[in-house]
Amino acid sequence: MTTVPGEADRSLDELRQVLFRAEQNEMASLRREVQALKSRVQFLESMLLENGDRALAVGTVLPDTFESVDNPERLSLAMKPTAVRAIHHSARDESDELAVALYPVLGPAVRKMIANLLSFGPPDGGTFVVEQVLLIERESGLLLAATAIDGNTEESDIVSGMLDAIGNFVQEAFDAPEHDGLQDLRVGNISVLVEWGPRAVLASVVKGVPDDAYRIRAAELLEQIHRDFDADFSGPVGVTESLDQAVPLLQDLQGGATPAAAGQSKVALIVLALVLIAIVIALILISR
Amino acid sequence: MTHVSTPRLLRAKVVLLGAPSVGKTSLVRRFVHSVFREDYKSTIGVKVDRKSVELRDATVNLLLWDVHGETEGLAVPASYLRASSAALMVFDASRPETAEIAGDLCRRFLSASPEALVFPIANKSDLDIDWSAVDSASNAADMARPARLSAKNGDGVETLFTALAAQLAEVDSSQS
Repeated sequence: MTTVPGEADRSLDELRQVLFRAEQNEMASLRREVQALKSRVQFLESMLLENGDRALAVGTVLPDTFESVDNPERLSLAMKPTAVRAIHHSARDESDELAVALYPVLGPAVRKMIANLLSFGPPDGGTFVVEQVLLIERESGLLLAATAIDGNTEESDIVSGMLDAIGNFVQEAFDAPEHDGLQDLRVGNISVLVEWGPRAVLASVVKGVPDDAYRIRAAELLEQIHRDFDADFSGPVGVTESLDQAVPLLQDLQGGATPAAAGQSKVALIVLALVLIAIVIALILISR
Repeated sequence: MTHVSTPRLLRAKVVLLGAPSVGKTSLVRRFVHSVFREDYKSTIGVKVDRKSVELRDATVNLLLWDVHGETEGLAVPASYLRASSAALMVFDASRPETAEIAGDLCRRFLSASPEALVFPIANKSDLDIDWSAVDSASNAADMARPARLSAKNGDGVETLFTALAAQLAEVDSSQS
C-alpha cells in the first residue's frame, strides 16, 4: 500500500491533536494564568511605591490633566466641595494669610461699592503739594523706599521711625487695639496721611489739604505694591533691604497729585450743566 | 573690565535700653552727632535717630530708638521692643546696681525679639571704675561681659556700632 506524502503529514497532525489535546489546552490555560499573575505583580508593585514617588508621579501629570480635561464644568463641580472646605479651613486657621491674599482684591471692590452707594462723590480739598511719599515695612516700621519733591530722602528713615514710635506710643498710652494703626497726623499746614496694608504702610507728607481722590489713589497704589512685591515682604523681620523698585510708583503718586485738575473738572461740569439748562429752556420756548 | 557691584543698603532697628541717666541719649549723641553734653534731660517716650555705617559690601542704616529709662513707675512698653534687630543694654559702670534693670529689660527684649542681637554696655568708662564689680553685676543680671565705653570721651563708641553693623550685615547675608 502506498501513501501520498502530504496526506501522511496531515494524518500525523490530526493524530497529534487527538493524542495531546488535553495537554495543549492545559498549556493555553497556564499561559493565561501566568499573564494574569504578571499583571497582578505589576499592580502590586505600583501599590508598593513610596508615597512620595506616587505623589511625584501624580504631581507631574496633574497640570496637564487639568488642562486637557474634556469637561471643565464637571471637574469644577467635582472640586467645589473640597475647595470650599479648604477655604473654610484657611479662614479658620490662617486668617491673616487669607486676608493678605484677598487684600488687593477686596480694597477696590469695597471702594467701588461705597462709590456706588454714595453717588454724589468725594468732596474736593484745597491746593496741596505732596512733599514726600514713604513706603514703610509694617512689622518693623523700617523704611523700604521713599521719594521727595526736592529729591532729598536723607531724613526719611527718621520720619518712618518716628511714625512707628508715635503709633506705638499712642497705642500704649491709650490702650488702643494693636491692629488700629496711626491714621493721620497734622501739624499746622503739614499733614501725614497714612494708608495701612497687611505688610506695608504708605505715608504721604502733604502741605495743604489733600482731596479724597488722592487718598483713593494712595490706597490703590498700596494695593498694587502688595500685589507686585509680595515676595519681597516675606523676608525675615529685622534687617530690611531697600525696595528700590517701588520708587517709580511712589514718584507717580507724588507727580500725579494735581488738585487743580479736580477744580477744573468741577468748573467744567457746572458749565456743562448750565449749557444743558439753557438748551432745555430754549427748546421749551421754541415749542411754544 | 572689572565689575563694580552696588553695596547693599540695609536698615535695622536698634533699641537702647536701661535705667534712667545711664547715658543712652549721650551714646546716641556721641555716635550720631559726635558731641557730648553735660546737661541732662530725661527722655520722654522715645526718640528715633539714624546713623549710616559704611561697610565693605553694605551700607547699614541703624535706626536708633533711644527709649526712656525704665523705672518702677514707668516701664518700657513691649511695642517699643518689637521687630528690633539688636538692643544695647546700657548701664552705668559707676553704679553697677543699674545692671539689674538692664538684665531685666534684656529678658523682656529677647521675649519680644528672640532672634535679635544683644550687647551689654558699661558706660562712663572715663570715671574711676571697679571693673570686677561691674563684671560681677553684669553676670548676676544674666548678661555677658559688657563692652566698656564712654559717651563722654568717645572711647569704644565707634568700634561698638561698627561691630554691631557688621554683625547685622552678616545676619542678613546668612538669611538671604
